[in-house]
This record gives sequence, C-alpha cells and structure tokens, in this order.
Amino acid sequence: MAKNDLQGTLDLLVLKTLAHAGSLHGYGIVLHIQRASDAMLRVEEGSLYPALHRMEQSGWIAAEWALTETNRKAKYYQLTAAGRRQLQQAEESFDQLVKGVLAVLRFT
Amino acid sequence: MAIFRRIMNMFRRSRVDREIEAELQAHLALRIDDNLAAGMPAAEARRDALLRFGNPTLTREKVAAVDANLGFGSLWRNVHFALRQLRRSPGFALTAVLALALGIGPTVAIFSIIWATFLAPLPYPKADQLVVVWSLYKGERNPVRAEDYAQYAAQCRSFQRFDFISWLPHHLTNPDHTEDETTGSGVSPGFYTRQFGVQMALGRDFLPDEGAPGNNRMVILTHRLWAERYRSDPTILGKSILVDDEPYSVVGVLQPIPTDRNGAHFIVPVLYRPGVHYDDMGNAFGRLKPGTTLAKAQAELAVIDRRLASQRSGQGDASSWAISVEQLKNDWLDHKLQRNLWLLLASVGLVLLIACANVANLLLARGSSRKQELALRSALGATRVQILVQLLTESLTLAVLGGAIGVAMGWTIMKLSMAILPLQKMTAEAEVGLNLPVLFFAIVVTLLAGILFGCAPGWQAARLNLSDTLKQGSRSTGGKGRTPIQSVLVTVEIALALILLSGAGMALHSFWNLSRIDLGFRVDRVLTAGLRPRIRTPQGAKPSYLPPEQTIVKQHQLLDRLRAVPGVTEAALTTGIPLEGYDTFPFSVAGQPFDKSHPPVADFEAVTPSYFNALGIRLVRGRFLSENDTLGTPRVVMVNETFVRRYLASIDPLTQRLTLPRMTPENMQNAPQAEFQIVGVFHDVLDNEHLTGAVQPEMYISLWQAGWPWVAMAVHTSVDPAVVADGLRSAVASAAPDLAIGNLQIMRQVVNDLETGDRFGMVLFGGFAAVALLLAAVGIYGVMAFAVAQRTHEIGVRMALGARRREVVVLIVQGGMRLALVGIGIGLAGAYGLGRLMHTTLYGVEAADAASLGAVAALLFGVAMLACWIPARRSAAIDPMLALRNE
Repeated sequence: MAKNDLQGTLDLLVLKTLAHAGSLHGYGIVLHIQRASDAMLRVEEGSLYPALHRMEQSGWIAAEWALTETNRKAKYYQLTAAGRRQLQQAEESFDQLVKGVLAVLRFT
Repeated sequence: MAIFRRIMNMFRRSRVDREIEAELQAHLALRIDDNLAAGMPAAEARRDALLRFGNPTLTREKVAAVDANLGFGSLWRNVHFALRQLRRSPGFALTAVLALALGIGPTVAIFSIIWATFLAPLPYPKADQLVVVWSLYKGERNPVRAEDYAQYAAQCRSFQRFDFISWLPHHLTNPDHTEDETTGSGVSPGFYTRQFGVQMALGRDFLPDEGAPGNNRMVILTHRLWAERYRSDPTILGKSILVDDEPYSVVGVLQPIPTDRNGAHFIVPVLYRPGVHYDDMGNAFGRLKPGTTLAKAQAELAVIDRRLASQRSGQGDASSWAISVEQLKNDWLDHKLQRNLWLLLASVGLVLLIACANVANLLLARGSSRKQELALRSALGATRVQILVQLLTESLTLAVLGGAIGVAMGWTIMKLSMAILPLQKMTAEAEVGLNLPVLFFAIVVTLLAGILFGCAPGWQAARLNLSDTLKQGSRSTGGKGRTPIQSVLVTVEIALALILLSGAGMALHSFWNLSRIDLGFRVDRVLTAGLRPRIRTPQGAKPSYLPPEQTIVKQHQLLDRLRAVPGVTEAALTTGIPLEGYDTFPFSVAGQPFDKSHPPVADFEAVTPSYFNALGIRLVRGRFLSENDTLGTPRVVMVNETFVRRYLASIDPLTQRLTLPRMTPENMQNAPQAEFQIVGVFHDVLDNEHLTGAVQPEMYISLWQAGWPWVAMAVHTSVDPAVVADGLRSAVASAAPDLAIGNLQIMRQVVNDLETGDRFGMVLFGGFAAVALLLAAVGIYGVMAFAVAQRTHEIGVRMALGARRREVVVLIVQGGMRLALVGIGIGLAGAYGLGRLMHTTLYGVEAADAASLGAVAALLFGVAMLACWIPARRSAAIDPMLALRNE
C-alpha cells in the first residue's frame, strides 16, 4: 500500500499548489488551497510551516526571500525537479488511495 | 545533499530560528493586511490574524523539530541499531574491530612521527619568514664560514635580521679547572630572542654590542642546564661561571626550547666584523623582510658571494661552491631516514588497506547470512538508500570502535618507535606526540576506512533480488560459495601483504649485510676521544707552537701515561679516527708525471705505530710503521689496499715513494715537499661517516716523523671501555694539562648509532609486515572457512557420490590457492616496484632482491596453504548423511 497519511496529503496539496502557481509564500499557499477547495479545506499554519521546512530540507522545494505586492518581505517557495517527481508519485498514490477507499465503501 | 543540509542546520540553529521567526511574522502581517483591506479595524485585524494562526511559539518549535527528526534522530537510531547488531555477534565484532585497530594504530603512529618531522609548522612566530643559509659544495650542504657570514650580514638587504650560531664548541670548566663536556655555542646577540622569539626565563638577552673582543665575557644558560646543573638557582644572574677556563658572568636564562640543533647548553655572544679572519663556521639564519621572496634573497646573496669568491682567489675549485637560501624546515634528518619514514607511512597505509579488505570480507560473509533480514526490511518498505545508510552506519560504528583502539595502539607504537629512534636523529623542533593534527588524521583515516569497507556489503545489498532471496530460504545454492568480490579482496590482500613482506625482507637483508660489513678495524672494547688544546688563542693574536721535536716528546709521555691506565692494553695517537670522515689530499708518486690541475688525492693521516695494534688493523704487505721510524731515519708511509688498487695497480708498491708535504702548524699553506718511502700496505679501514660507500685511498705516516700537535686518541681495553674513561681523563690531565678530552666515544656505540636508521627501518618494516601477514592469513582463512561452510551441502553430495576425503581437501585447497597464486603474482610485481624505490636506501640489495622475494613468496605461499588446508580438512570430516539432511 502506498504511504498515505495526512501529512502526505498536505504535502500533495502544497506541491500541487506550487506546481500551479509557480512561486508562492506560505500565506499565499493557505489562501490558494482555501480558494481552490471552495473553502472545504483549511490548512493549519501549525502544520503547514513544518511541512514546508521539511520539504525544503528534502530538496523538493526551494525558497528565497522576496517582496510581496504590498512590499512586505516574505519567503517564496517553488518546486524543484525533485519536487516535480515527488508530486507525480504523490498524485499517483493518492489516486490509488481514493480508488481503494471508494472500492471499500462501495463493497456491499 | 539533504542530510548535510539538516546537519548544517543543527549547527546554524540560531540563524535558522531567526529565519523561521521572520517567515511566521510575515505570514501574520500578510493576514493583517488582508483583514485591513477587508475593512476590519486595526486591533480586530490583528486579533483575528493571531487567532487563526494558533500558537506561534509552538509552530516555530514544530518547524525546528523537523531537522532533528530527519537528521540526527534517525542517525542515532541507526547507530543504536548498529551497536545492537554488533552485540549480537561479538566474535565478528571483535575480529573486525581488532583488524581495524591493527590497521589504524600503526598508521597513526607513523603519521605522528611524519607530522612532527616534516609537516608541523615550526614553533616560532612568523616561521614562514625564517630562512637558513647553506654553503653548497657540489650540491651538499655545508656550514657557512663565519667571515663570509660577516660579509653577507654587512651587505645583504633582504633580511630584517641575519643571525649566526657558530659550530665552534665552548666548554664549561669545572671549579678544579678540569674541562667539562657540557658544550655551548657562540651566537650573534639576539639570536634566540629576536630571531626565533624565544622568551627569557630570567635576566636579559645579549646587548647588540656584546660579543666584541673585550666585551664578550657573558653567558646565557638554557633552561635545562640551569635546572639540572644549577638547581634552578633564582640568584644565578650576575654570578660568574667558568667557560673555557675564563670567568663569564651569567646574564640570563632562556625559556625551555626544543633541543637545540647543535646541542648547545649555553650561549655566549660573538660579533663578527666584515674583513676580519675567523676560523669558525656555523649556521646563518635570516628573517626575510616582508615582501621579500626567497628567490630575491637567494639572488642577492649569490651576487655578494660571487664578489667574495673573486676576492678569495686561490681557494681551489670556486665553481664547486654555491650559496643556498632555504626555507627553515624540519628537514635536517639524514636522507635515508626521511625516505624510510615516507616508505613506512606507505607501508602502514597498505596494512590499513589489508585490514579494510579483511573487514569488508567479514561483512560480506555476514552479509550473505543477513540477506534475508535485509530482504525482509526492504519488503517492509525500507528504501534502498535507507538500507545503504544503515549498512554504512554499521561500518562506521565498527570503524570508530577500531579507530579508538587504534589510536591507543598507535600511541604505544609511537613511543616504542621513538625508543629505537634516538633523539639526536630527530630534528630539533620535532615534538612527536598525539596532538590535534594527528588526531584529526586518525579520525579522517577511520572514517575513510569505514566508508571503504562499508561499500562492499552496501554494494552487495544493492544487488539483492528481493523475491529470490525470500523464496530461497536459508539454503545456499552450490557453486563456489563465495562471491567474486570476496575473491578479489583476498587476492588484493595477499598481493599487498607480499609487497609489505618483501619490503621487510629487503630491509632485513640490507641490515644483515650492513652488520657483516668488514670495517677493517676492531669495534669491540675500543674507545676514542678527541684531544683539544685548552688554551684558546685570543682572536687576532698570533698563536705559537712547540717545535716538532718537543711535540713528539710530549706525545710520547702522554702515550706512556695512557698505556699505564688500568684496563688499557694499547693506546695510540692519531689525526684521524675511523668512521669520522676523510680528506682528499693531493700527492704525487715520485718519478711519475704529475697533472697539477687533477692531482691524485688520498686521505692523509699521521698515527703512532701503536695505532694498528690498538685498532687491530691487518697488514697485507711489507711492514707496519715502527717505533724506530723517527725524525732521524728515512721518512716512511703506509698505504691501504684501495690506494694500491687505484694508483699503483701494476707496480710493486713497496718500491715506490710518495711526495707529500711536511706539514707543521705554521706552514700549513706552503709546506716543503718531501719523499716518503712506502713500507707497507694495510687492509682497508672504513673511513666514511656512514657504514656504506667505497673506502678511500689512504696514506698513513708516523706521528714520530711528523710532530703534529693536534691529535685524537684511540685505546684498546681489556675491560668495558666505559670503565677506563675516568682513568684516561686523569692521565691526560697530568701528562698534558694543556689538552682536554672531548667527544669520548665507545666504538661499538658509534657503529650502533650509524646502524640506527637501518635498524629503525628494519624493525618497523618487519613489525608491520608481520601484522600484514597475520591479517592476510586471517583474511584468507576466513574466506575459505566461510566458503567451506557454504558448500557443506555440495561436499556432502560429492562424498555421497563416492568422492574421497583427499579429493575433497584437494578441491578446496586448489580453489583457495588459485587466489593465493594470483595474489602472489601481482604482489611480486608490486614488490619489484617497491624495491626500485627502496634500493637506494639499502645496502647490498638489488631492486629485485631474489633472496628476500623468494623467501617472502614462499612464506606467504605456506601461510595461504595452511589457511586453506585447515578449513578444507574440516570439510572433509563432514558426514555426508548429516550434510544432506541439513536441508
């Protein structure tokens, strides 16, 4: 079975967000996920930042400090090549998970 | 590398913390901005942002914790696991750790000596500015003449300071006016304090004008002399001590310094003025001005030196002399010892490689029994990298354990090595010990070793086929029972061991040759000593000498007194002592054409007739010098066999006369020539300063026909020569109070010292080669035993099908010996290479030394055979039924 805990799901959401948006800061990632999920998913800051840090250390995402539109300094993240590969794997295993869970739910 | 980033973060904690803090603050600020834009009042906007964010401190800690979890946390888990694994198989762990310690220990020991000798920076401030000036004669380093130093110092602009230490020894005199053997040197004022930055423990350094005639009766003691001879007397300053029988006032005591290069125990000031003639020579040390290079200083001195040489006309072959400015380094060791040290480092490196190969083999053997465990872990979700990291952690854990024991072992080996390498052979500044750079080296070597042998099982694990391994269970599939990598490792081990053994063999062979060299004279119970005039002629004053007749009378009296000392069986006076060097003195054979530009040369000495008896020198032809050859009888000379071979090959030497100068102390430059009849030929006596090399042609005339005042003495004793030293001293004191005994030496000791470098090489090479042999034997035994264990089933089948025990043994031994023979073949090639490197430092040993190569190849063959035979015999004892049922 693929590894699919909550942490894995958060990683997937962040990676996908960055793949879509290119370069984004933590707050922007929170907003994007909220907006894209029609406010169904709300990312906890307390989980997001450890996850970002871990993914940065694992080399999936790279970060640099830059100015926001409102002239504030913020740390912007973007995907690395390793991150792109990781995203692909994570998407596949998430698909598997959903299929698996659905199959169980539909089993009567 | 993600792991490095995480570990780096652990060290850059505060920076990372600040960055996390800033990021979280930025998040809050952005939220507040949005809230404000949505129309919230400022206080509300902030409260909402904080509320949504949760506890910022907690978040920050959670972010920071990521590093610990991913980095050291797992590393620690791995180490913990590795230790548990090792505890589970203590036999394996012990063997591996010991093998590593045996590899790392000698490496650390030799490196500590190499570091101190060649690599460590000199313990002086701005040591890179320090240079030493040598006078090169045909490329060989020679001391600088004091009068040349005075000229250089006056003219050279490249140096901040230019100092001189004279080789002319000064002696302490005891209160009863007998000469003490404690020697000191004359130095230019400021030599230690300003040139080398040595601090004074007491008192002051010499003042810049001290050292001129009339203002030079002051002395500075080394810390050691002050502590040992004067019991650290705090009131020593201003006291008067006798130096060369003159009162000198103590002005200072130096801080402890590394043993002085010249072994000086005290220093007195000397000033050298340009244009004045001085007899002494010594070492000149300069400190380059900032911005001046070695090359500039060299060029400047060379110009000055050429100018001086043209003024010194008539000094013979000026073109053979050159000046050399060199960076001051720890490289005063003799060439042979230096080379031996580097070769030893290389050889302990080989021992370490063998140890690594051994441990790799052990790990591989264990790896095959761990296949299932690894496969299981892999099936449970461990990635390939995780397994590799785990295996590497295990190897590194082994390496660190081995390294720790190795460092302790290295310290012991270093102490033992230093015991057989006497201190006077070491450079002055060398402080051999377990210091930081050596420990750093030990750590690097340990980690490299760990990674090196850790790769083998990692490589093996990476090729693991999951499902096959799990399916296969514990049964091994027949075949050779060992992996190709194991075969390669065993072959490499044997090859390396053979190279090392051959090095040891050659060193041993050389030492054997050396100890059997025909020195041409008696070594045992012979004692020699220099006899120095005690009264020093003041600088510039014209010395006066006794006429030859009176000198001879005095020498007769002295000799009689020496012979009367209890224990002395024969005493002789001589101008030269064996093994102390020779001159190349021009002469001509009477009646033969003489080429003035290339005259024949030979060593020229004057000896008493008793010299030949005292030193047991053998007569080849004619007669010895006799007591009846005196000033009133025809002049006679003896030559050695080499002289006859080189200059009188086709003539009867006893019919020839040599034209030689009749030298007296007054007429040294232009002595009248006279003819000396050759009356005898004596067997060659080794006169080199080392034990090897060709014997020079020699001419000995009788002291009774010379009247030469400066002599040394040699006595043969019936007892331990050390016992008669005091008797000799008092004999000299009573018969010749104007002479002092200096440099008293026991000939056996001199020869031993000359053999030191070779003995050092031989003992260490031999020791390390023995370790290598042991490791290689354990290695091949381990692999064969393992292979036999793996093939139990196959052997069972063979025997069940009718193979006889003998055939099984032959089968197993053949397999192992094939590897051994390949290893021996490769090793022989390597040994030839080593021989080419070594043979310049060896005596009487060719690059391809058939005797030692043959011996070590046979030895290694035998050991390999034994290591194969023991497990093979065990295999033959297998009960086929049991082996088959083992399934």
